[in-house]
Amino acid sequence: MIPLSRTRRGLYRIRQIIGRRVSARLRDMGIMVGDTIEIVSPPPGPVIISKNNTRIGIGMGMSNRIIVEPVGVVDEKNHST
Amino acid sequence: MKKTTQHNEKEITVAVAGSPNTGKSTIFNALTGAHVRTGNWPGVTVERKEGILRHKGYKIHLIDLPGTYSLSSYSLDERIAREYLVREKPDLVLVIVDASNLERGLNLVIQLLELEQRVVIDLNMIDIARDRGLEIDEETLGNVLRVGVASTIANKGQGIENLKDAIVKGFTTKQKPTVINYGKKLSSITNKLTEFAKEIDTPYPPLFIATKYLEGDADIVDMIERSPLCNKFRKAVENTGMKLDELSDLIAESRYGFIYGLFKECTHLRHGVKRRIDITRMLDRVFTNRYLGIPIFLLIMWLVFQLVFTFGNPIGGLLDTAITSLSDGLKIVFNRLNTPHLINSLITEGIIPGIGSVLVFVPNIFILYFIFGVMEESGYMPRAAFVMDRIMHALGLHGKSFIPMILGFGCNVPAILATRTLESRKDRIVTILINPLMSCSARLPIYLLFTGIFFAGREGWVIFSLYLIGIVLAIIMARVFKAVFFKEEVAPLIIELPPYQLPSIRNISVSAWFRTRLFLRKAGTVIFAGVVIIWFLANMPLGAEYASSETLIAHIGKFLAPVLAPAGFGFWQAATALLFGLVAKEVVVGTLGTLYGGEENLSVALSTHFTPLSAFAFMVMSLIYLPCIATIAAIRQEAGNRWALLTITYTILLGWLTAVGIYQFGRLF
Repeated sequence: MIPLSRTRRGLYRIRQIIGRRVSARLRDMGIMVGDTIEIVSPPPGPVIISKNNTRIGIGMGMSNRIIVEPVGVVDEKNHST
Repeated sequence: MKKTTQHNEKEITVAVAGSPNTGKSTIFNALTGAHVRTGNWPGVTVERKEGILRHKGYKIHLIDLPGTYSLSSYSLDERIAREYLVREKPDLVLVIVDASNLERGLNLVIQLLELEQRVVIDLNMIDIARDRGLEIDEETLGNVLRVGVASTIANKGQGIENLKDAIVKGFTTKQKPTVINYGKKLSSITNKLTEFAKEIDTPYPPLFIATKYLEGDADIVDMIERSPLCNKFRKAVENTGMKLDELSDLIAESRYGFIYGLFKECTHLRHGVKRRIDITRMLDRVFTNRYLGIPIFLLIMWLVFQLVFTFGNPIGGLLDTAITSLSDGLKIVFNRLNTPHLINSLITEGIIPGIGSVLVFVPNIFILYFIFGVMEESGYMPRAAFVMDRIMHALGLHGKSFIPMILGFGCNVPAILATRTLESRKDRIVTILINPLMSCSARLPIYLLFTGIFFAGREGWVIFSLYLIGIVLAIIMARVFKAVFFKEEVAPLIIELPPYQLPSIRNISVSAWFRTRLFLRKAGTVIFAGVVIIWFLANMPLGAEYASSETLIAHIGKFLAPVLAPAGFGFWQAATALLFGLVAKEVVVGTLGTLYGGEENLSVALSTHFTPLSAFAFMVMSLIYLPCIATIAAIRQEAGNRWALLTITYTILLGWLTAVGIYQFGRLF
């Protein structure tokens, strides 16, 4: 398990989101613990994640607070909903 | 609410809700056509749009709610939306849902149902969902939730008639919508809290209070804490043996569990083809690229200003000629008619030149708004915020602060209103405080006038440098304010990057024209008043020669002039012009025009008073010294008296110091 700030391009599953407001915000935007997300634009710098045709930009201070684990190699077709 | 029968027409009120980037405003426009009225939500300066739709004997008042992902009290927009729903109780809520992101849309729908609203769902962008292989069974969705469902492709104008039918049908079909079951673990606590909540005198439904309390919604928790039921609520939570955090997670889980179940029930996936996402992916590789993103953004900003000048100036020149001839023509007519000198002078020397010097810059402003419109609609604007987050974060600001800062180049008033997308009040206030340093388009007339005279051929660069000075100072001041007032961390940036799309030129022209018209209206009222006051002061006491050194205006200017002498423009005309720039920055040009006896004399008059260096110092002063009345009013409204006062004080000091610094430093060479 690594923070979002240390990921590469590819698919990851969210294991934990630190901070109540942050997790509430992400949840409202359709991103929750347990979701599989794709890292579209990896760190360093702000990160773009994608789920369900939705892209969300995650700012610098944030990516340390989202803990993920890799679930496979980059495979754009198998990105299930 | 109002169901008065008039001409056999039933009147109903429908609120339009939906997340950002779902095509909500396109649908709103398609439903209401030209019958749109805009204003503000009570107490706040968030834009409120209302329109009328006539369909099947119904007169439907449509209210456009701010775009929200949810109905928590996370942002001002969300608060406005839910306050409206519980207090005004519309007959129906139309929720616009991005069909390709159904789960997220359902989250909002469920919260609306918990708020005891009657709902009609519009699945918009159904074509994109289909392209991705997602088929949605509208009937099942409608049956499970017991709400009306329609689908549209709003940007192609498809499905609008069906949607109108669905709205009417949603109103006429009386059925109690589904409320989700939170499962065994939770239902005992939610039931208990719901019972307690019934005792509270509030427009919010008890179940909504119960779930939002458990979710830790700031406003609802606050309301409970201040009520005598506070202990009962706490006790009930304690008795569950779970922490509030766990309960909140559990609520979210069961809600999403329900959504997921519903999603599976009413959709099926075909093997689909991707189309649009690939373009977005490709473009994002460039626009949000680690190395290219920021240079591209700066290049775009540079292009924006080039366009504003190369296209805007010639048109402005034509307008200028037209206005001057109008004023000259009227002067002759008045002389023939033996009109009293005072009235002749008021009209031809006060009103027309004053208003004219504002109108001249309308092309520039329209183009600027138009380009911002393109950036917004194409989907680039949030990317700009994203790309800038690196820099902004390093500066101790939020990536989202950048959008208000960009908007500030257009006008500080909407820019200050745009800060409401920032969730943290502290980030918001810092962004508001530094916004006046973003050089708004009303300051352009001043720059154009002075650079045209003193920096001919290099106007673009000089003006660019002024914008840059504003930005640099804003960055410094942001640091200062953060260090002095707020020592906390910046709220994190989480921003949706919608798919890129070709902007609709029609929509953008309409909104650019609307914004320009607002500017004109301001020009017609506030500036008009300002110009007439100036004319009055410049003609009084009676008998004094117009704008001569005996007039009242000269006395005010003379009183202030010595203070400005170290900045290189210590003469009363400059001081007076700056003073009246408070009315609105563009009035500075109007005032100078009036004081020097007309726009056409300005270039001669100014070149005798100013040197290029003092002209530059004057432009810097105009940039910083004080926001216009409208901006101060916006700050006061959004942040309060204290912060408005601080803005006034610090901008005067900073403006003076910078102008003096530049002038004194420049004289060394």
